[in-house]
Amino acid sequence: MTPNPFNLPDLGEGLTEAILRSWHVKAGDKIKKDTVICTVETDKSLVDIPALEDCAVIQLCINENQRIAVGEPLCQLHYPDSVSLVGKLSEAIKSQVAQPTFLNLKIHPEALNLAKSHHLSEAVLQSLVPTGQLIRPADIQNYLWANSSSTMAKIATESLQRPTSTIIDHCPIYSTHQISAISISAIYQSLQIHLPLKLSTISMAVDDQAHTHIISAEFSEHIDKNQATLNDIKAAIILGKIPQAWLKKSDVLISNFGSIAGRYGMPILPPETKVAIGIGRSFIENTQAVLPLTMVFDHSIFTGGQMARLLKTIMDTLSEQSQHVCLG
Amino acid sequence: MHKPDHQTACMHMVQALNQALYDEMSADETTLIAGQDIGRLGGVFRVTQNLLDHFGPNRVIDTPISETFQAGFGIGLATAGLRPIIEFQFLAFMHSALDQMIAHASRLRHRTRGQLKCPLVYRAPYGSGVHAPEHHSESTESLFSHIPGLKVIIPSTPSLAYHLLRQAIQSDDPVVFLEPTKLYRIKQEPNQRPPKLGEVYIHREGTDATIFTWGAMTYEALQVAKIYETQYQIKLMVVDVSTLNPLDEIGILQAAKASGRILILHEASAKGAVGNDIYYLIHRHLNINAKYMRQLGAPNTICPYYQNEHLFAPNQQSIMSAINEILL
Repeated sequence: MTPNPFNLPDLGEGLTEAILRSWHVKAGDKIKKDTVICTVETDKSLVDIPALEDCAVIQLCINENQRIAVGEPLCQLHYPDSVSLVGKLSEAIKSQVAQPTFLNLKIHPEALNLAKSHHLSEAVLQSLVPTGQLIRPADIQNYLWANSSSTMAKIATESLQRPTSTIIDHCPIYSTHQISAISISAIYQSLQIHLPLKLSTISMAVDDQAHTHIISAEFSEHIDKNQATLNDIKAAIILGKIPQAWLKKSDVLISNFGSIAGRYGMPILPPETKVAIGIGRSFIENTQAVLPLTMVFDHSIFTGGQMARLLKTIMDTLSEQSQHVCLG
Repeated sequence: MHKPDHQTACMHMVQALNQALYDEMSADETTLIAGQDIGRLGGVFRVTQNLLDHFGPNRVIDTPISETFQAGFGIGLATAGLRPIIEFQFLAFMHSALDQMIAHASRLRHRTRGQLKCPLVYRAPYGSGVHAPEHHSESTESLFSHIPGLKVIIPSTPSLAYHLLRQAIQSDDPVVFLEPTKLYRIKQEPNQRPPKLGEVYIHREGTDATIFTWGAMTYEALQVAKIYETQYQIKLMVVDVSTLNPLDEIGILQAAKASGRILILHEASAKGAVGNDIYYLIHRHLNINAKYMRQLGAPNTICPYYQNEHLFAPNQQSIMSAINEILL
C-alpha cells in the first residue's frame, strides 16, 4: 500500500482554511470515485469533499472539528496500480531546471532568449550597448545580421542604413525570347543616355543553391553578346567556378529574381551599389504581356525625376527591342 | 482584534481591515458599522469579527437582506451626523443599491448647497481569481468611478487597506471602498510609507517602464517586477492608482514621465473603464508613442467558472508579454 496524501483543496472565495466537521470514511475502507470522504466548513459554506479515484483509505490525519489549512493532508489514500505522484512531480521539476542567466546584464527577456539560442557570450552582449542601457532584441538581431555569413543578410543590413527609394513599372513586351539579354542591352543603352557611370560597373545577382553571387561580367548593347555572357555565367555557377575578375563591386546591379510575388525586387541596395534594377517574371496585363521592373536607388545620389526618366528610357528601349526580336 | 503592533506586523488584509475598523470606532464614537451578518457571524469573510463584542449592537448592526435598504440607511445616518460604514457581501450586490448611491449619496452636498454632507463608506469585496461564482468575481469599479461625488478606493496591501479605510471613514464625502478578495488572506509585509487617499501609491521605483494598476493586479505586477529586476536587471515602476475617483492626474503623469513606457493593468474589462481614462490622460499630456503604451484587462464578458477562470483576468504571463512589447 503506497500512502498518498489527500490534501484539503482550494474551496473557493480565496479562503485558506476550513474546519473538518465530519468524516464519512474510516481507515481500511475501500471507496469508489466520487464517494464523499468528509464534510468541511469554510467561512462561507459546508462542502462535501469526494474521492477523485477509486482508492483505499490508509489513515485519517485530523479529527472532527479540527481546523485545517488548504494544502494540508486530510488523510492518506492508496490508489491501486498508480504511480506515486511524488515521483512524477520530482521528474517534472528536474525538467524545469533553469538555464543560467546573465545576471549582470540589463537585457530584454526576448533578447536573452535570442542570445542563448545563438550562444552569445556575456562580453559580446555587453559590447552591443553602452553600459547600463537595456539590450533589446533588435540589438542582437543587428549583431547577428552584421556577423552573418549570408551575403543577403549583409546586404539587407547595410541597405537599412541608406536612404533608398523604389519605383516600379510594367514594361510592355512582345516576345520573351532572349528577354534577359534584351533587358541588359536596354539598361546598358539607357544608362549611357542618363547616368555618368562607368559602363563596366554593371553587375548581376545570380543565385546558386546556397548563395547569391554578385557578378560583374562585361555587358554591352549587343543582345547576342549579352546572351553569350549570360550563358558563361550560368555555366560558371553550375560548375561552381566563378572567375575572380567577375567579383568586382559595381554601381548598377541587375537582378532577375522577382522576390516579391515573383514580380518585384526587394527594396534593398547592396553595399556601394547605387542603383538596383529588378526584372520579374512576365505576365499578361489587360491582354498585353508586360515585364515588371523594380528600380531601387540611393536617394542621396539621384533624384526621383532622374530615375523615373531612366526607367522610362529602359522601358521604351526594352519594349522596342523585344518587338524587333518578335518581328524577326 | 489584532495586536497593537499592527503597523509593523506581517498580516493579511482581513486582519488589517478589522484593525482599521476597531481603531477608527475606538477613536470616533460617531462611527458605526452595518451590514448582513456582520455582527454575530463577523461578516462573510470575517472582516468585522469580534467588533460586536467590543462596540455592542448599537454600533454593530445586522441589517435585513436588502442592499437598497442598507445604502439608504447609511445615507440617513450620515446626514444625521454619524459616520456609518456599510458592508455589502459582494460588489455585485451593491448594484441593486446604485440608485441610492448615485441619486442621493453622491449629490447630497451639491443638492443642498453644502448644508448636508454624506460621510459614509460602502465596503465590499470584489474581483476574480478565487474560484467563486461569477457574481462574486466582478470588477465593476468603473461604474462607480463615473459618478461625480463618489470616491472610489481600492487597496492592494494590508497596510494600505488599514490606512485607506481609516482615511475613507474620516472623509466627509461618500466612499466606495472595494477590497480585492484574492488578497484577503495573503500575508504581506507592511509598506514603509503610509498612503494618502486621493494620491497614487508608488510600490516600487523604476525607470524602464511604468505599470499603473490597482487591486489584486498590483500583487501580480509586483511579482513580475521582482522577476524583471532579478533576472533581467530591468526596473519596473509599480504605481498603485488606489484612488480611482477622483484620479490623481499629477501623480499619474509624473510616474508616466519617469519611463515613457506604460502598461495600464486592471482586472476589469477595458470597455468604458477607468483604465481608458488613464491611457488618454497620459497620451494627451505626454504624447507618448502608442507602441510604448499597452492596456491589459479582462475581455468584455462575464467571468467564467473556475476551470476557465485563468483565461479571464491578466496573469503574470500576459503581463510579461505586454511589458516585453513596450520595452522593444
